[in-house]
Amino acid sequence: MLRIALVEDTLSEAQYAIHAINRFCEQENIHERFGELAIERFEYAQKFLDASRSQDFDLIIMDIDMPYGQDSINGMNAAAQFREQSDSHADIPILFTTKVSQLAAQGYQVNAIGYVVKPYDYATFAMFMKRAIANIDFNLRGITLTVATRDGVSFVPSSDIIFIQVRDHLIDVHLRDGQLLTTWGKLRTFCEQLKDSYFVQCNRDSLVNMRYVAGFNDSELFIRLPQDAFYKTTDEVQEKNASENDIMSFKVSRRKKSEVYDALFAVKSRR
Amino acid sequence: MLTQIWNFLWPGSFVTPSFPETYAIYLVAYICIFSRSLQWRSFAQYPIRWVLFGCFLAGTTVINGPVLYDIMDNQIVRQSYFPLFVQITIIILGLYALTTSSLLTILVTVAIGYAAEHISAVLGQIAVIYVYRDSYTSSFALSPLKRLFIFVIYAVLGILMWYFVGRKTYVSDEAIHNRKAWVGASILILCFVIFSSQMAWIVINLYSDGGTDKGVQLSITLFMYEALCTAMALIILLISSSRDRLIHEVEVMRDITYRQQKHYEISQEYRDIINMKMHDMKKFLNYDESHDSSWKNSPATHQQIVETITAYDSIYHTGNQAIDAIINEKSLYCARRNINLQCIVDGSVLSFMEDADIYSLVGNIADNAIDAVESIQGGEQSRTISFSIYEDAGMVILRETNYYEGTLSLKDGLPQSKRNNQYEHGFGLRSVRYIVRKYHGRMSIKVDNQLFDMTVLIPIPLTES
Repeated sequence: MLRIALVEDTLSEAQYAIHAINRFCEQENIHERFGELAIERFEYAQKFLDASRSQDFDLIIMDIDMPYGQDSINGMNAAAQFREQSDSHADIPILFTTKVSQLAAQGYQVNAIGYVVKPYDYATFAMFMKRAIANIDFNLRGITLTVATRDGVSFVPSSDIIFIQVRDHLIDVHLRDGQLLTTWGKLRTFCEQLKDSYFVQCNRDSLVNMRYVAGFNDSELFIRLPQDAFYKTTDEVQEKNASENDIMSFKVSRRKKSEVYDALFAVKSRR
Repeated sequence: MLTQIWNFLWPGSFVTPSFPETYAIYLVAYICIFSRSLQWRSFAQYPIRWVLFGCFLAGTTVINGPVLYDIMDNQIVRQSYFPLFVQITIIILGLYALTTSSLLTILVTVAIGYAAEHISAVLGQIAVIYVYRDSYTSSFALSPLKRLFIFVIYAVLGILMWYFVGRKTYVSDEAIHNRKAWVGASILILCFVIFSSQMAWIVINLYSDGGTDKGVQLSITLFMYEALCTAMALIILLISSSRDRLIHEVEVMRDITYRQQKHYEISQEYRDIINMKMHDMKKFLNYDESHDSSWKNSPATHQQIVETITAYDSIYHTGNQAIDAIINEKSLYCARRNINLQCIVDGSVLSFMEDADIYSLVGNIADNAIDAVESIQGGEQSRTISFSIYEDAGMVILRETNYYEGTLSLKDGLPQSKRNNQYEHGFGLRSVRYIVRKYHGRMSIKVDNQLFDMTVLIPIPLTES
């Protein structure tokens, strides 16, 4: 099911938007991939924020200039609050609608995928919906990985994994919060499980989550380790704490190059 | 049967009669002269590969080659290039194992090194013939003095080539891809020149006994001719396969000039518009004093004035002055032409770039998009440009999407130019790519269903602290 929250105070504009969404979903065969379409309209931002605490949405279409009378929250602030509500809200695509483009120009602060200026035509709307769909698709590709460690079994969302590395027949799973899970098994099984979630094996013993790639050159990828992360370096099996600006480099084997850069562009050009 | 094949491929003894055979070592040394673009693997990480390659080089000094001659009655009947072929193949594979460069770059580098070595070898032969009245391949045993003489020639020419050409040459994959035909042709010419040059021996053997004046003259002429042909092919190969900074810089200069000129035209246009609006406003205020002002307060008039002012107000404050300047200028331009330019731009993330580069990068992306949507007249597409700049995990991402009309085909990752007479269409994006490369970034362009989608990734350099 594709759940869309439409936050719009003016009825006629909400109807126009719903019409456009329906048309887009029909034209692009959205139901084939995502199933049924569920659009919920909220008349003002606070109502939406209350609902989003308990309800999940795949896409937020938000009017920026909503009347201040009801609750004094405009769309931009509401988007910021929505992002703060929960960690899981960080990747939900937000598309703004606005009468005045000045209001939306700061949209990068809340990681908006874009904005459409009212009145908008269908083609413009479709252009941004395509982007939104790419985002939703990306979010759906995340999986929960079961990792058996010495201390028990952990369930890790793939988006929390920075990279996975082989070290002395063991497998280190490095997480976003600096945690390190050590498990047994083959890297190949992880590769197969994670191949649709934009993880790419860039050399014999590393599997990297492309979303955390912070730099690259012709033969290496770089990842900035989270501060105070605990990790073991592969070369001399040293335990180490990451300090500020600690960069980990991963050699990219020649055969993997095109695969790595394709995945990198796919991940980074979502917004 | 097998021995027949072997004898055909290897006419002569397996071990060289004139130890040490120096050919492969000279060849590798000459390849190294032009190896600036190769990215070597470290010895510490790949010790076995390096040692094996070293063993191979050492081994070639003992093995007969590189060209074997079937000699009957002091006449060369047939030559076999088999040892040469094997050696070059092993060198190419060795370089592939020892570097992280692409096979194409290695092939071209080896071809360049081979041609350079060949020129030196031919010039060395000329010198030997001139000084000793004797060619060194025909007399198998070389005296140590002759060897030293040849070594000095190789060394001097090698140093000269490195100083004047090698250290400035950078073989680039991109250039090779752009000029596949030229690179391929020059390598073919090289092969032809080098293999046909062996005819020289037959001619010399036919017409003289080597030592005579006539023979010397003939061989020097033939060898000179050969050296010149090789040099020509080498020059074509070098020009077509190396990244030519100069040409790029000329392109950038042209771009800047064009941009300045266009900027001037646009500013002139806006001065006119603003003057016109000021004039309207003045008239409106005068009118207000002398007549009743009820119409002025009508919402329609008010709306009209607000719209006029917002359309020409500079609206973007992105945190980077260069970007502000470009985007504000472009948004004014777009407002006049009914184009929706929608920007979500965090300019502060590009602060590590030079202003001139930002102008060219952002300006060219915007111009390209405006160019594309200007020809759209409604229908299934809209004149909308979406442009965003943001940071994601230590990288700057520039993204631009727009609809376009007509067909657009990509060549080498860039749209092919549509117009021939005016300022080239795809040209601006070439400048973009040049700047993206300069900052060690990458760009990708996708065209799908009349939608042009461009993404640029640039890693934010770590500040030295």
